[in-house]
Amino acid sequence: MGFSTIVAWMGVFLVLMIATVSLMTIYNTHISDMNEIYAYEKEVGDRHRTNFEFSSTNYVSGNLEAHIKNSGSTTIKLTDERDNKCFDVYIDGEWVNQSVFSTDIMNKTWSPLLWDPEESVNISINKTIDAGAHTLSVIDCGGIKKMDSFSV
Amino acid sequence: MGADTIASTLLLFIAVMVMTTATVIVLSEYVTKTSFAVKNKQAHMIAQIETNIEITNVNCSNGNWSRVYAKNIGTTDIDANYLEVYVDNEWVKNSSFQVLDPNTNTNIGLWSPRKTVLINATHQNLSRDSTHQIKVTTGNAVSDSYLFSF
Repeated sequence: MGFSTIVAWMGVFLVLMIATVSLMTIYNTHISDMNEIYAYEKEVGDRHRTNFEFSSTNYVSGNLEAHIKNSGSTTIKLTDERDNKCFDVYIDGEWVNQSVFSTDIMNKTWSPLLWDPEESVNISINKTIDAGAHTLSVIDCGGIKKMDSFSV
Repeated sequence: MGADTIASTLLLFIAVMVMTTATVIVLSEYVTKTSFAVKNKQAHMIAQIETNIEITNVNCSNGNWSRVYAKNIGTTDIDANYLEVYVDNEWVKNSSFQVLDPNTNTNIGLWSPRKTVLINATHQNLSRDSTHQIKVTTGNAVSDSYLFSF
């Protein structure tokens, strides 16, 4: 093998190395971007599959109880990643402090800590409400809002 | 292979190497700047895709003061210091609104995903007999609007 052949092969090897490193860098960036976009798409998909409906709303001496059924096709989160409540409750459009209500999954058919499809949640709100007609709004962690009316 | 051929091949190799190095030096700055700009644009677009907010409730009782409840329904933290509020397309000064935790009424700096904030805004006087619009915009220009009357 002559000197020129060695030089030529070295050149080819160098070019291939540079091309491979460049391709890997581009591919890595692309994969990381795609992962972030995939996470976003999953979030949007979950939002479309989320639905819940009021089954009943009753007020008895300082305690408002609402039964809500997960009528969508995905599990609904009741807390955020830091385990804080992320359900919002409004009575007559007024914010209800998250410390005065609790959520309890009623018919735990699958995972006991998750609100799966077909399962119901009982929201218990410890608040004195005046006599008359009122509205109760519940907004889930993903921003889906449902409203029910009740009388005291 | 004679000594002449080796010498000429060597010269040719050196010439090619010098030319390649010169080209790389000239182009590297351009490539670096371009890739930096593309990366910046990409990061900005991804941040925008991950940011999403929804105004869930607005209470306005006396015409010039509103309580706006908004939820972070995106997947990233939002800097509450860069929020902007518009009422009927009129800019609300930064000093005229506060971003609070609705449970504790304390100021929040970072608005985490799935969290609701209360924006207490003092604005121009609104009439009772018409519909009004409130708009909240994040630092990276993601916004949501809410129609209300009182």
